[in-house]
Amino acid sequence: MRIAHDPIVLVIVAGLLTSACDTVTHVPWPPKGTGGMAERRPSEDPRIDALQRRLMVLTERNARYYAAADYDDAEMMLITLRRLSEGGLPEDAEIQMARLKRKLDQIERALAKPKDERAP
Amino acid sequence: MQSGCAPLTASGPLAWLCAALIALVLGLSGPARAQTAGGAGAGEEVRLRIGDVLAIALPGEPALNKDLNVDRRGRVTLPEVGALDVAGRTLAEATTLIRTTLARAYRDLERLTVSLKDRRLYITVLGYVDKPGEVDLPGDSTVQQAIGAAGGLLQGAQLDRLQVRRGTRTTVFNYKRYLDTGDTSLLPQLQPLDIIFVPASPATGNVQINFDSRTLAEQGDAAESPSAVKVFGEVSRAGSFAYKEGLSVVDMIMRAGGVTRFSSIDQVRVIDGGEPKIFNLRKYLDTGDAKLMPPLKPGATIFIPKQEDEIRRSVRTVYVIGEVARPGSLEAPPDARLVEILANAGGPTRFADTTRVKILKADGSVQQFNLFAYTEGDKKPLPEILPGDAVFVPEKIEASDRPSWLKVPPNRAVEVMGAVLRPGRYEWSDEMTLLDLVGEAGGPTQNGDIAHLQVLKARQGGKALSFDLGAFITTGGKISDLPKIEAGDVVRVPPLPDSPIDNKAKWVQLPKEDAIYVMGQVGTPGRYAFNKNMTFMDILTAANGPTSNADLRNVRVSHRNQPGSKVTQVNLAQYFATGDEKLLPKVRTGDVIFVPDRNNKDWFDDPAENTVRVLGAVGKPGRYRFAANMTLLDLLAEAGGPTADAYQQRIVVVNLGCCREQARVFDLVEFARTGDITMLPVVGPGDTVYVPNSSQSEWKIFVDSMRNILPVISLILAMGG
Repeated sequence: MRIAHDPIVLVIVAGLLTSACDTVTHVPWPPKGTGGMAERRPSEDPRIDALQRRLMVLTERNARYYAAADYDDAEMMLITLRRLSEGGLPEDAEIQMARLKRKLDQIERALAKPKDERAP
Repeated sequence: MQSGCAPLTASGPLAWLCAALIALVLGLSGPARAQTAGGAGAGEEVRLRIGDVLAIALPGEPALNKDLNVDRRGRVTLPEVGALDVAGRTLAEATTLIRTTLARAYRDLERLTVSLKDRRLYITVLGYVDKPGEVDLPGDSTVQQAIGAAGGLLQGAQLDRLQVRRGTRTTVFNYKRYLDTGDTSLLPQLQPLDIIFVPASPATGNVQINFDSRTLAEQGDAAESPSAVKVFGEVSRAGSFAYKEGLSVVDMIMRAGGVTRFSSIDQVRVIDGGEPKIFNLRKYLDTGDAKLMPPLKPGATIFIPKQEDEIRRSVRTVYVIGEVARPGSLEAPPDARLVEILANAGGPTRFADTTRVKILKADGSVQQFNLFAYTEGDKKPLPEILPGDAVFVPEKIEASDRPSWLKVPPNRAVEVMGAVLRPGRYEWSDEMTLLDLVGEAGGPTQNGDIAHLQVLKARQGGKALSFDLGAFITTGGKISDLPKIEAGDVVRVPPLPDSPIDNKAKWVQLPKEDAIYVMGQVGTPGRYAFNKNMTFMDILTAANGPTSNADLRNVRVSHRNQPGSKVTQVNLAQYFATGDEKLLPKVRTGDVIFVPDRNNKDWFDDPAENTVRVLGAVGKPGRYRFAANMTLLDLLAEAGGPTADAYQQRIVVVNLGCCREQARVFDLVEFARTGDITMLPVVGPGDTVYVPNSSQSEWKIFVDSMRNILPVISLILAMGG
C-alpha cells in the first residue's frame, strides 16, 4: 500500500504512538470510592441493622430527651459505622460497632434510673 | 396553866382582886426564897408551880437525896413510885403527899425533908426576835429578860404592840413605853408557859427582806396610827410620823429629813380635815411670821410639790434651756456670769452646740455667744446675765428625718456600710438580728453582693467573718444560724463588680477566692464575682455570652485550686443542639473559662486525627474539622470548591484507617450529572482529600505529548520534502 509506505504517515503514526505510550505509562487512578452517604440507603449488614433497631427502641423510650447528648453521640456513631462498613474499611467498622454498643448500653443505664434522677 | 384571876387588861373590881392576888404571890415568893436559903421552915403557904425545883433528902438513902423538877404537867417523878402531882399545892401539902407516896417503897421516912430549892420560868418567845423558841429563866424574870434570852428584838419589830399569851387569853402591852419610862408596872408579870409574841411593824410590808434601822426610821414611826401625820413629796424621807402635841408643820418636815433641792417651798400643801391649805414656807422663813404657818392636827397630810411642776418667777430667776444637763430656772445673784449659770445647770451636754449659745434678754433682745471660742482663748468677755434672762444652748444641727449621729454612743451603735440603700450608724438592741439590721438599712442595693456579707466584730479583737445571706434566704435557715451582731460591730455588704471593661478599678477589688475568669470570644471577658450557687451558664451569661466567632465546640475550662491540673473541653454547640445539662461542666471560683476563636487557629491546633486535609485545586486548601455527619461535598464546599482548572473527574480521597490505608476517586462531574450518592467515597477525620489539576488528566497528558512531538514530525517532513 502506498499509504503505508508514505513517510509522512509513518512519522505521524510514530508520533501518535509515542504520545499514547506516554499516557499509558502514567500512574493509574485508584478505584472509585463508596459509602460517603451510606446512612441514606438501607444497610446490608444484619449486625448494623440490629444496632439501628436498638437505637430506635431507645428513641421510643425517650432517650432523645433523657440522655440527649449520649443519644446524639450514638446517632453520629451509627452514621460513621454505616459509612465505614460500606466504604471498604471493615476493621474500622468493627471498632466503631463496639463503640456504638457501649454507647447504647450507657443510654440504657441512664434510662433505667428513676425519672427524678435523670438528667433533664 | 390558867390562873384564877381575870385578864390583866380587865378593869374594875376583878382587876383589883387579880392585882391583890398577884401581889400576894409576889409577896410570898420572897419568903420562899428565904426558906430555900435557910432550908425548910415557914414556907408552907408557897404554892408550887411548874418550873419549881424541890430538894428532897433522907439520910442514909442516896436515891432520895436529889432535886426534883416540877415538869410541864405539874408533876415530880419520885424514885420507885413514879410521878406525883404537886403543882398548886403548898410545900407542906406536897411534903406530906411525897412522904405518903414514898412509904409504899421506903420505910422510916420520918426524917425525909422537902424544900423549895429554886423557881424557874419556862417562857416561849415568838415573832420578831432573833431566836424564837422556849427560854428557861429564873422565876422572877421579866419580859425584857425573856426577850433578851430569845436573842433580842429584830429590826422591824412593832414595839408598842407586844403580846403575852396565857392559855386562850392575850394581853397586849406597850413595850416601847416601858423602854421610854423604865416603868416595870407596864410589863405583865410572867408565869410559867407564857408565850410572848413580838409582832412585825406594818412598815416592813408583806415581803420578807432585811431591814436596817435607817430604812425603817425613814418610813416614819407612826405605823398605822390614825393620828399619824403623813409627809411626802419633795422631802428626803417621806413617811408617816407620830403626832405629838405641840409639833408644827416645820417640825414634821424636819422629821421627814427636810425638803430636797427640787422642792417648791412656796407651795407646801397642808391638808387637815379635808381642807387643803397652801403654806408658803419660803415666805415664812424670810419673815418669821408665825401666822403664815397653818396649825397641825392629828392625821394631817403635808405635801411638798416638785419645783418643775410650777412656773418659777422671782426677781432673781434666770432660765437655762436647751442642751444642758439640768435645764430649768435658777436663783442667780445679780452678778452671776454665764459660765457659773451653765455650771449650775449641769453644763452643756454632748449634743450641745456651744458655738451658738444664745441669751434671750428680758427686754426681748437676743445675744449670741461662742462659748467654744471663749474656751479656746477668745478674749471676748462673757455676756452679762441678768434676772429674767434665759440662756438657750441649742442642739447641734441635724437632719429633719434623722437625729444627730452623736446621739447614739459607739457602744450602742452598729455601723452598716457598703451596698445598702441607707448605710449609716444604727442604734442596736440585742434582741435584734442581722436581718433586722439589713432591713432597717433599706436592704441591699441591686449590686449588693449578699453572698459575701461581711461582719467585723470590732469589740472581739477585730475578728472578721463572712456570711452567705443569699444562701440563707434562698435555702432557708434558723435565726440562730445568723451571725450574732453586737453593738460596736461593723456590717458591710460588698458591691458586686461593675462591667470589667469600663470599671476595672472596682472589679479588681474582688477577692480572688470569690472570682472566676472568662476569656476569649465572649461579649465581656474579665474577672467576675462567683459563688457556689452559680453555674457555668450563669457566668457565661454574665460575660454576655459567646460572640459570633466563638468556637462553641472547643470551649475549655481550666479547673484551678485543686490538686493537679485539669482541663475540660465543652461542646457548647452540642449543648445548644441537645440541651443536655450533662455537657456543662461544674465550675468553681478560681476556674478559667476560655472560648476560642474559630477563625484564629493560632491559639490551638486541631489534632491531625480530628481534621481532614483538603489539598490541590480548591479555593482554600487547608485542614478542616470534620464532623461525622459531614460528607466529601461539605468539605469541598468549606474549602472553597474546586477551582476552574480542577480535574473534577478524579478527586482523590485517601482514607487512613486503623489497620489499612486506601485511596478512592470521586467523579464530581458524573455525580453532578447522575446524583448517585453511592458514588461518594467515605471520608473521616485524619483522611486526605486531593483535587488534581486538569493537567493530570489522560487527555491532557496525551495532548501535551503530541504537542512535544509535532515539531519533530514537522522537521522530519520538511527535510524529507
